[in-house]
Amino acid sequence: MFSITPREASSVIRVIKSTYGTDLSGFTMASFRLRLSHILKSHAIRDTRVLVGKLLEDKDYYETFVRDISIGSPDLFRDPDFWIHLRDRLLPDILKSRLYPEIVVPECVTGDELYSLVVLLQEAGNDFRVDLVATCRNKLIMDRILDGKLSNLRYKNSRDNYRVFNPGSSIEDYFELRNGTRHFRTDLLQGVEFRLQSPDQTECSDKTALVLYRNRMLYMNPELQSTRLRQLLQEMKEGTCLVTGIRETIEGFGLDHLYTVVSPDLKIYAKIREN
Amino acid sequence: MQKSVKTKALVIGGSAGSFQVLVRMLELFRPGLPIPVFLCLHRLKQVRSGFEETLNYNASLPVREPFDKEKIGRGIVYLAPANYHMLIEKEFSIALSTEDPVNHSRPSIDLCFGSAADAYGPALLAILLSGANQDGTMGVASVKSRGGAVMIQDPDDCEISTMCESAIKLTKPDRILTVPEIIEFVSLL
Repeated sequence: MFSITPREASSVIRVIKSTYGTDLSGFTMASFRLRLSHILKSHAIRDTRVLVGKLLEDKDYYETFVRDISIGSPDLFRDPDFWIHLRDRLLPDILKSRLYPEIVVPECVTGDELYSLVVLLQEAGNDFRVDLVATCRNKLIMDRILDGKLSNLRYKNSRDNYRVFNPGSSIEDYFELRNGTRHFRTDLLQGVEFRLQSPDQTECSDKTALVLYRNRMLYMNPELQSTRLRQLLQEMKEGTCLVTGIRETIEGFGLDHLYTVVSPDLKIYAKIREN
Repeated sequence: MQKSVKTKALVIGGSAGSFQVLVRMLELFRPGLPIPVFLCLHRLKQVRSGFEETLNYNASLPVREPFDKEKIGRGIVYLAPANYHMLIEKEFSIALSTEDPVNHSRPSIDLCFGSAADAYGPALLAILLSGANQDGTMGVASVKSRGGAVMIQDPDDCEISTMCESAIKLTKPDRILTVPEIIEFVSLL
C-alpha cells in the first residue's frame, strides 16, 4: 500500500524533472506514493528502479506514466448539492449578465466533472447557452476522456449521485454500451473545446464566467496550491466564479484581496477587482 | 506493547457495529488528551452532515471533519469526511483524497492506518473495531510493521466480526479486547 518509500518517490520525481522538465514535486507525497504503487502493479513493473529505467528511455511510456499518476474526480455529480446549486442558482445568475459565457474545467483527468456539466447543460437545453473548455495535461488523458469509459463502480456511484441531482430521470441515457462496457456518449462532447495544458498559455479568457476546479488541489502540497490559485485568480476577470472542492480551502494563502466568498459551504468564490 | 506515554497519535477504524462503541469511547477520552485521534469510519457517502454533530454531542474532545492540508493538533479527534480518504502526511498535516475506494470503502481504513503508520512509526496506537468487510487488515499490518501498537476488538464481542477476524488472521495484535476493556483503556490514555 505504502510500499514506495519517500526516497524512491523523490528519485522518480528527480528523473522526470531532469529528463522531461516536468516538476511533480508539488504532489502531496502520500497520494503520490500510493499512486506510484498502483502504477507499478498495473504496469507490471517490479520496482522503482525499473520504472526509472523505462522513464529514462521511453518518451511514450513517460506520457502513459503522466496519465496514470494523475488523479481524477471519482464519479459524476459528486456532491449533488453543488450540482443542484449550479443548475438552479449559479448558472442562471451568470446567464442574466453574460451572453454565451465560457466555463473552464482545468486539469481534467478522468472527465467526470466535464461529463456532469455536459449532462446538466444538455438537460437545460437552449436555456443555458455556454461554451465549455477543458484542459488536459497530455493527449493520452484527452483521448481517455473522449473515450468515456466508466468502470461499473464509477458508474454505480455516478448513478447514485445523479438520482439526487435529478430524481425523475436516468443517467443511463447519457451512456452507451460498447463491448459490454459503459462509455459516456461521445456525441455529447462535440461542443467541448479541449486544450493541452501549457505553462505559457492562460486558461481563462475575457469570456470565462466560471472555473470548475473541484478537488484538483487535494493532490498538491500547499506551495503548489498557492501558486495555482494565484495563477487562476489573476487570470480571472472581475466577477468570474471559482469553485473548489467542498473540503478544500483557499483561505490562508494571502490571496484574500483577489476574491469574495459566494458560498462558504459549496466553496464558490468570485474574483474581485484588485486594489 | 509500548507504554501509552510514548504514544503520539491514536487511529481508530470501524464499520458496521462500531458506532455505539465509538460514542462511548469519545465520552471517556481524557479532556486535554495530548495526542491527536484519527477516526476512520465507514459511512454513507451521500450523508455529509449530522455525523460529526452526533459524535460531538457527548464527546470530551472536539470532533471535526478536517479540511485538506489541515495541520494536526493535539486533543482533537479528526473524523474522515464522507466519501474522502483521509491520509496523514509525514509533516503532520491531513491530506484528503478522492481516489477510488479501497475494499469498496472511501474512506479506507487501510489507507488511513497505513499513512498514519508512516508518519508516526512506533509512536502510533491503532484500534480496530467491529465491521463487515476486510478493510483495516492491511492497515493494521502496516502499523505493526512500523513498530506501532495494535488493539483489535474481540471478534466474539463484535456485532459483526468479519473485519476484526480478517485483521487477526494476518497480524498478531498486541491485544484483543472486549468493548468494556477498550473503553477502560482509552479512558486511561
